[in-house]
Amino acid sequence: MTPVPESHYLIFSLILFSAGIFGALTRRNALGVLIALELMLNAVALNFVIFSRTAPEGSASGQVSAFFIIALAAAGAAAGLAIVLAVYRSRKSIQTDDTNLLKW
Amino acid sequence: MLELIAVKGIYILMVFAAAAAFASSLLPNLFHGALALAAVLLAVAGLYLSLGAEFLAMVQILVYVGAVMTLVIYAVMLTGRLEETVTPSGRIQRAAAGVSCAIFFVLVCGVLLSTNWPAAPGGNPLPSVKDLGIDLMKRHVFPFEVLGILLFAVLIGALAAARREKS
Amino acid sequence: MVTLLLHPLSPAAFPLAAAALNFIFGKQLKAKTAWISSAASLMSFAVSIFLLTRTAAHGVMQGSIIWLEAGNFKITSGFLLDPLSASFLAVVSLVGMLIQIYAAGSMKDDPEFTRFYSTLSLFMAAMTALIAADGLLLFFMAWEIMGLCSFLLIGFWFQKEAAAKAAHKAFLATRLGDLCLLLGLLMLSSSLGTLQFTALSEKAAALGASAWLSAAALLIFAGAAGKSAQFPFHIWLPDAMEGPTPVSALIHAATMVAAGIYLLIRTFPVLALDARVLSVIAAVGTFTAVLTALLALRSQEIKKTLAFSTLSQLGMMAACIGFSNPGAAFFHLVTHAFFKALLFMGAGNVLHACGTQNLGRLGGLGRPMKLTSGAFLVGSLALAGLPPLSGFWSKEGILAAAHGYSPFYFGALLLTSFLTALYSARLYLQIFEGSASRSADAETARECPKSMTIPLLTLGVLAAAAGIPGSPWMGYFFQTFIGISPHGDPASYAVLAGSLIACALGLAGAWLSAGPWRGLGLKETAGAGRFLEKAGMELPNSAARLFASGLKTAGRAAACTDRLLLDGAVMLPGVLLQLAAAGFRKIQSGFILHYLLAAFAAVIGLLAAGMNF
Repeated sequence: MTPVPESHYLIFSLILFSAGIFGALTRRNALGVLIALELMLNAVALNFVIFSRTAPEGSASGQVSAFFIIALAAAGAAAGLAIVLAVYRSRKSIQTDDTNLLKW
Repeated sequence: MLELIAVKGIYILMVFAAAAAFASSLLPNLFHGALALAAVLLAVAGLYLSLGAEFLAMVQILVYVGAVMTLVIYAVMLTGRLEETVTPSGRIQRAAAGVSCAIFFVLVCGVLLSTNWPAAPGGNPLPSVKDLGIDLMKRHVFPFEVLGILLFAVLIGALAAARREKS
Repeated sequence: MVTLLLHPLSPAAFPLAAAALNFIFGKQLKAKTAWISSAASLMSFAVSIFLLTRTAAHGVMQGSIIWLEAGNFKITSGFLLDPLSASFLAVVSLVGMLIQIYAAGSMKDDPEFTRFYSTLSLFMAAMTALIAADGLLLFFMAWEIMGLCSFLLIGFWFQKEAAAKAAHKAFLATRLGDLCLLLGLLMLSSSLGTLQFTALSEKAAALGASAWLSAAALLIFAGAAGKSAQFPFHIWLPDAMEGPTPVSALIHAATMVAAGIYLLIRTFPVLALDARVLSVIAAVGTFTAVLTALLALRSQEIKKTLAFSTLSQLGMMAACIGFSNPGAAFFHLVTHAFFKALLFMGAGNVLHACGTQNLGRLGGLGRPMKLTSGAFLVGSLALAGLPPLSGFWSKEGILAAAHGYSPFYFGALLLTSFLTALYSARLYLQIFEGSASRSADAETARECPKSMTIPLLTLGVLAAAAGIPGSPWMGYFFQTFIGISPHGDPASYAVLAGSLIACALGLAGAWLSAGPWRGLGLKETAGAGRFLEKAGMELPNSAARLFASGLKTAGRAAACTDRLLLDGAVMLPGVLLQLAAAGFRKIQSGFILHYLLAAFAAVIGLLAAGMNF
């Protein structure tokens, strides 16, 4: 048990999440968006682990959830990267503003 | 004395991770951004340790930093375009995104700070790896198995998506 | 079947069928269209003679159908065959038949032969329907169709710009009159509740004089003035001579222009309610008569002279109605139809033989063209009013009416008679007497083919003899047969003396001006003559042009208002919507990041909304 209060941890994870959102909204490269996405997922996993500290005896739900999140993030990254590669091969570009076919 | 250093260390880690997180979102060079993300993940693994989740910290380093980041950097290298320029419309987008992120931060911060987080039921030992294992195989066995299938599906899907067209 | 053939409206049906046949099968029939049209008008004439005898024996025939019924409001339309319409019908179909036979010869080489005959037959149908109409509704419809046919026939050779312009002018001038007539018609219908001619006299008498009815009467006179070319609507008739000669003969001498006078006769009970209306009619008619008689003196073309002469005679007829004597006006209408058609046909013969109608280049045609010159002489003398030709008796009736009305008008109409005799005799002398050395055309002139001379001679006989039924020698049989109104005081010696002296003076003056006193006083009166032409013709013409351009401007203003205000008001919501949509459309930029931003903003919004601070 550390004397660092929970709110500090939580604010930190919020900072990570906000940075991730900012990156997702701003990055022009699709891979950049993926990187920011990983950041966001990581922040969420951290949140779960923070709450596992105050869980009842013997329950490791927080860590299990974080475990699952890590696995899912990996899966998502794999799938996303495969798609980005496919798009890159057909369009020779992965800039997000080049894929604007749904423009009015 | 050791505790003081430990607490200070945790805060230093937090600051470092926060800086790295902003770096990964703001740096125009994608490769640098990916490396910054790896730094964040490592720092977060350290925080896991401080929270008593040793196994998770190891898994984080092995899987996240070791495998996922490698994959991301591999893809970054493959697609080649590393430098990013900011267009005028991108500037507006950035400003709007920054504003909304700030608002979001303020709002949720308000919620966080005004909530009384329940204290840990006195003297509760942190869950051990044994507890984690039991939980995974008993209470959460179903999601665990589904996760396996999901990973399998993702594997096949990624292969299919990235396969070169047969001419 | 026989009764259907002898129906009072069948004189209109035959030419209508002929017009349709000629229009549809014109290309195949070619020259035979003349046969069809003439046959149709022959049948019309036969039927009209039968109807005339029937009316004389059995009295008035009437019949009508319900035209429009809406609740209590009912309009009927049908035919009215009384002695007036029966005799007019006979006259019109006879003259029409003769002119159509004449045109077969005169228009023989024209490439648009079939179009000519189909339009002419349509005109005949409209005219006979107008005469047989029992109310203003059918009358007005036929009136409009005649206006259309007149336009088509004046502009028959529309490739000539002058002819096209003349047709336009005629149509627009009569159109203005038609508008006034329509207004008057509507005003009458609204106050009297009926448009039937027979009902007009009782209803009008029952209502008595009023400003409304007087206004309606004036508007009706305006309509008649348009069609019968009274001042200031007279500008279209001289230019209408651009059309073929048979057209001038039929439409602008004998029938259509007479329709206005016929209208005035039929609506006389309404006109007579207000003495001021009658005085207006008398003044306008007399003024037209004198002015156009003077203009006829100055004209240098045959047909223009005859056109002014027609205007003058129509003015006399209109004035006679103003003198409250429609019977005398009708008698003059009938005789005028005969001798004016005759004169026009003679002019057509001269044109056909010599190729020119310029009086300066004609002369001495009496020797080669004996038949034409003889008939023309009869026509001119009838126009001049020499007894015992028809013109004398009918003109005397008008002069008697004028004498009974006012000495001033009597004097003015005596002046007109003098001028009429002067110009008509002079016309004859200039064309047919004198030496033939003026132009090569005059020297090589020969008499025209039989198809053109026989109708001429027939009309010559009629022009000479048609006045007898209305003369004292037959006890004024014609007037009593028509029986519409008092026919003046014919036994007045002042009138008799006046008319004879005027005629004699005119004839003498013509003989003198063509012979010993040729060219006398020409220079002195040239200035006065030019002033007369300016006042009489150019002024109304420019006034009409001004009026037309005013209408055009008003039209353009109305169109502008319509485009800006009305269209604008309708389009405005659409345009605004388009602008708003164009703005909103920008949201769909196609960039994923923009959409993400929007979604994130929505989440923040929800968050903020859900929080209770």
